[in-house]
Amino acid sequence: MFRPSSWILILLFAPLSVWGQDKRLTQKLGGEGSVRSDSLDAFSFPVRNIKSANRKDFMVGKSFFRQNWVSFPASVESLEGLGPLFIAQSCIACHERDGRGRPAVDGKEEFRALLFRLSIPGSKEQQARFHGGPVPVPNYGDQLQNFAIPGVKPEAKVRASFTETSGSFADGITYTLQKPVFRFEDLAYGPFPKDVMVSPRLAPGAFGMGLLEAIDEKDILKNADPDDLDGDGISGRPNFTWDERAQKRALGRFGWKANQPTVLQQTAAAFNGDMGVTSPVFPHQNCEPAQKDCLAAKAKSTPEISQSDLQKVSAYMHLLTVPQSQALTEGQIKTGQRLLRELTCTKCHVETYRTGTGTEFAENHNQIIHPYTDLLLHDMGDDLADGRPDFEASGREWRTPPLWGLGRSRKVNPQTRFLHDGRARTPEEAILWHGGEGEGAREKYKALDQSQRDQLLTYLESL
Amino acid sequence: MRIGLGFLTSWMIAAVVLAGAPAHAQKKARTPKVLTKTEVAPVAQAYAALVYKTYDELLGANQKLLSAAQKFVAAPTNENLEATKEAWKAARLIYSETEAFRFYGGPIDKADGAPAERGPEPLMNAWPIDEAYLDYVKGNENAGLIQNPARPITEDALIDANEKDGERNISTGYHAIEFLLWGQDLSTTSPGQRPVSDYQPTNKFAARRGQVLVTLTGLLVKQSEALKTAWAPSAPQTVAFMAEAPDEILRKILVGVTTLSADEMAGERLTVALEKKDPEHEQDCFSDFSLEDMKANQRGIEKVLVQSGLMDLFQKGRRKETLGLRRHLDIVSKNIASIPAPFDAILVDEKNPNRKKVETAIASLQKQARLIDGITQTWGLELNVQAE
Repeated sequence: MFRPSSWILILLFAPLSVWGQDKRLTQKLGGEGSVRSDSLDAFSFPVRNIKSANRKDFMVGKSFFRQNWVSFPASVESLEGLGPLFIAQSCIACHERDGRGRPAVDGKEEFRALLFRLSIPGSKEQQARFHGGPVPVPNYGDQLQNFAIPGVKPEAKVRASFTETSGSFADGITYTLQKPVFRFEDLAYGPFPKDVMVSPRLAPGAFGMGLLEAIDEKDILKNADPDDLDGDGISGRPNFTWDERAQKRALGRFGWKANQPTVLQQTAAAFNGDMGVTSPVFPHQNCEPAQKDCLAAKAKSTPEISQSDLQKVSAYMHLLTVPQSQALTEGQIKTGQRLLRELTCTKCHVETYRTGTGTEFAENHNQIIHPYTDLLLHDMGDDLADGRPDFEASGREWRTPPLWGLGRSRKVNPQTRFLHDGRARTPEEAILWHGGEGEGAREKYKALDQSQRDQLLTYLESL
Repeated sequence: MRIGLGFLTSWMIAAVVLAGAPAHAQKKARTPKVLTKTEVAPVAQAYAALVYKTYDELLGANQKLLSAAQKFVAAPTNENLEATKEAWKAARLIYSETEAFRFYGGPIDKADGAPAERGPEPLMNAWPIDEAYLDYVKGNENAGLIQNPARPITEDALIDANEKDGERNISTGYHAIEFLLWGQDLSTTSPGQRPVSDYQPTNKFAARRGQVLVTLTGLLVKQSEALKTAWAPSAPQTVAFMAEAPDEILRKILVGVTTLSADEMAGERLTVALEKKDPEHEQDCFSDFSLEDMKANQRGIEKVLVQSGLMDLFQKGRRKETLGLRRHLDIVSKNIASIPAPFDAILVDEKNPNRKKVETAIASLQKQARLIDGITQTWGLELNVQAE
């Protein structure tokens, strides 16, 4: 952790108003690039300190992020390449207004913003071939695509039902939680193997990623305590994953299990896995040998998104700003922050970093940021476990998701939900699902009285 | 987890206490002046009156558009189609002026509250549009929800379909209506040429197409009425707006105009169009009306600055800079006016000499936002204007 000096402290807050008795403040969660916006577009602005040379790429990348891709051949050449198998036609279909997605909840609508990763344990040789990452399921690959272009069969339909459990806080007030159960119907390429492992993943917000990439690796690793030497019940393990461009092992930062090392690779992987769009990073259509219709579909011989267009989308991702927190009184901020620390939430949801200078975009360098994540993996207990390892992440571990943008997510997309499979309808439900290393914090939360719980949630909703 | 939390806790609390002093005061040499209620109240009053009046005009124009569309669907002649197009243009010009009231979470794009209370902007103005989502396109003659009898055509169904599974999946608003009136623009020398027969009984889907057209124009009437109501002098929203802290009122008004100028006009509508070299990226791509929109956007910005008395307030803070801004408003208008129509002809041709004119307009729109941002430093306002 860096040593804050007094000038840093002064820049942490921006006063909303110097008028009236209750001074209300906002926090620049994303450093000097944080904008103030309370509109539906809150997640869609560039960092305020964007360099003029990067503005064009940002704007064009933004346009690509919204563009519907179409199947080859089509009239607009730059947008040919959807599928053959896919989940969505555009990035924005799942990352609504650059924020979080919403799972299908009515049992009828097909899933889009919630996708399903697939794998099998595989042999040692297979594991080595995928650099220690997930071994794809024969006939289906490593992700379920529930849509396809005409003439190709979608892999399956997914249906969810929910089971309910209830519990109570120490003060006797009761709550109900929902857990989804997913069924896979109309499997088009044969049954899943018996040892299939499935992991649901809800589309997260797309903002602030450039800042997370700019955190120095050493500042992440110094919070790791894989063997829990300090005995606080919280370990924190880095995920080491594979950098496709550098062709080497690299620290994972992005995704629910920190399985992607860079914004560029995350972006290219989403183009390939979610939209069926090939790129110089992932040049192959994701068709398995048994998917003959997929392999036979007409396709471009060159990458469907060019290196230069991919760079622009990546620039967009790097430079999408984190909005400032919504205004609260000083008292509300102090209380919320104190409770987060007292409940030990901040042991994993690490509040503050000063970013380094190692990434492509200088706008994100040397910024004091408050993402509320350690980007490390934690065992979150039986109830949340997906049973599917992902590189060094076990089937019980998840990466601490950032909390910046949390409350605003529900304003930008009122239908969004929380946790990896979207089971939590509210931030409070997400807290109540914490198990494993998060169990202690959850129990402390349950022991709070109603007004303290409200104070904590008010603070979280302001982020 | 090994960081010293006691240490962290203490300095974070220290941060909150220290943060009492405004951030700008620490960074800038001059301490910002405090805006008083007396200074800002007349501006807020005049602004609210301007917004109310403009939405009232929009309501009137949308009602005329609805009447024209109803008449056209009942009697689908070329003459009635042209009359509906003219009514669309008249309404679109006023809507473009109202875009200066966006971007701060006001009634037009409020992100709070129940679904019915959320801002209607995504339903009124969604763009760019994937035409095939709504109706046939060249090369895909059976496309679109209009040609799919299984899809119900009601206000609710069209609202529900709008931006579903993607921001380009547009089924409501000005641009959907524009597409229904003009059709795809397949030429850079003229706007779209939708045949009037699309609405005549010889066309299998004429009735559904007409039903969508009337439903969507009716929806615009309702939405503009709701916006007008929200800004009525004694409406709760207006009262709450007037009661905000003076610097917050000013910040909201100016986030609206600067975001429209630098992000929306210079960015989304001009830079992206130029860079992507795609005629579909002119904003009114079916009617070739984009440049008129742009002029109206700038009129909207000027009205906010001048009619609400902001320029006078600016002058008190920064006299010289305000004179500079006044001159610059005219420069922006001239720069936009100098771009020759049709805009799409400039976009598709990388060697078109008029691209320079578009670039000049972009730079002047960005500068316009920076000039406003600079003046408001007097009061330490925080707009989202990019520094460079």
